[in-house]
Amino acid sequence: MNPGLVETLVWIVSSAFRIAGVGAVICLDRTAWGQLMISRPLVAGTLTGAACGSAATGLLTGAALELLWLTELPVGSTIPTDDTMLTVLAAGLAATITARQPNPDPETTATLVFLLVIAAILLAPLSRRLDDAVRHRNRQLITDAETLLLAAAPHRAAAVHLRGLLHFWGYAFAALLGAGVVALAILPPLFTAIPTGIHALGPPLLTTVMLAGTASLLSGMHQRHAVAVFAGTALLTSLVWL
Amino acid sequence: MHTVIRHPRLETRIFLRSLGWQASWNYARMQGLGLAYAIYPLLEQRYGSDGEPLRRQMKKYLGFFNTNPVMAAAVLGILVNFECHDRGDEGLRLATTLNSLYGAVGDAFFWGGIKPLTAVMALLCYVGGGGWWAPATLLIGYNLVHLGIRWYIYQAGVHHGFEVVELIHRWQLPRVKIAANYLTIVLLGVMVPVAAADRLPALTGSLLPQLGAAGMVIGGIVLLQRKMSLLQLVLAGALLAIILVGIGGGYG
Repeated sequence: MNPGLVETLVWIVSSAFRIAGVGAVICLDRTAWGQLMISRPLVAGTLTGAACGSAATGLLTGAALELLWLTELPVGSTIPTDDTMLTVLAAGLAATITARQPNPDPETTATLVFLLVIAAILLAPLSRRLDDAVRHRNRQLITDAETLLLAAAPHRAAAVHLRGLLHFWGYAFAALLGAGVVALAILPPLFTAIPTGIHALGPPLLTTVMLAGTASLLSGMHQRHAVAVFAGTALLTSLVWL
Repeated sequence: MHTVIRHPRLETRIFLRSLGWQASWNYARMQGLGLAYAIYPLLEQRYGSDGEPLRRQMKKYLGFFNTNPVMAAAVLGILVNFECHDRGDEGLRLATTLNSLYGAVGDAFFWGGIKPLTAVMALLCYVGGGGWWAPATLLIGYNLVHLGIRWYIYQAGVHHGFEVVELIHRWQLPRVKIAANYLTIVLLGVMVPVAAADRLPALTGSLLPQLGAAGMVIGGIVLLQRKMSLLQLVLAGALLAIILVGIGGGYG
């Protein structure tokens, strides 16, 4: 087999394992354990980026994704978009690809992150379905706990709860690993095919993502005069800036 | 029945177990198994590590349970208190009533108030050049409120039982949530011009990028209210940015 191809395959698989390994643990904070906001895109992106060789790229990705789905609330049985998993995937891929470049410039990195943000938005419905699948899988835990209670093993019945952590972790790991392998095989050649002139657009394009997130947040907060308060503050800030 | 010895270490253990409250979240009983897991050390202490009384009591805690995971700390505290006073069944009935109330209040306050506020504070730090302080701001800011309230209401529930309900009522969390939302909006009003200043196409010395960015946000709100999707909005914004780059001849 071609040594170059083997090296590329090893890079793809090992990088995907790194993204999945770190990402699946971060994803636990979202629902299963803590809700300490380690799972927020800004934090999750930075941590994943750091693990994949470029914390700054991870931070850039997290900042772009932070506001997009912030108003989707996990109320009752409503499943919001899993922006943690989407961020981990996007930040992990961006950091891995950037870290492999000899001299990555900020504009090229921003363009790559913008493309990954678009991919993340497209994958949003899938992230909700995956979360839904874990919660269906957890249904079995109730049956198992009740069976163990009947079998006079209350300690083990209580401990069944911890298997839920494994479910959340396992689903996230498998999804991130699969998506990581596919994306790392496709993205680098696709990205190099983009004319370098377009790369200059990266920073303003990423800023528009943040602006779209701001619009989404303001729209979803449902507070009276929100637009007027926002516009007034923005005008005042701009005047002070001048 | 065994004698109850309430001990700070046991209370802390139950609290720590409650942080993983939602690990077994499912559509049938939602957080039911999580509740049973969290309170199990107390049940074991009260009813012994084996035997019919423990199994019977644990079965009761395996029922349907769902509330906001942070406010659940108050309900858990009440349950611990009632269980220690041989009123476990009464505690469970009260918990059923409190679940929906604290679910609504907690979701609105934490997910709809504090989370957006700390996220925007962190983003403002980021666009202002704060670098690594941005994620740190989010983590510290949110958890000061989150863990502070979570621990406090749990302790209040454990030691004062149902009185914690009155305590939480006095905090007026829905009003605090509205104040937090307006503060978030003001911070967004500061953040957008700062973010746009050196990232969007600029005509030196003019207010165009800052006000243009604020205008794009307001336009975005209108489009979202007219059922435009997030993807369409991002792509429309990107197209506009490309046109502005063409007109402005660059950015920065």
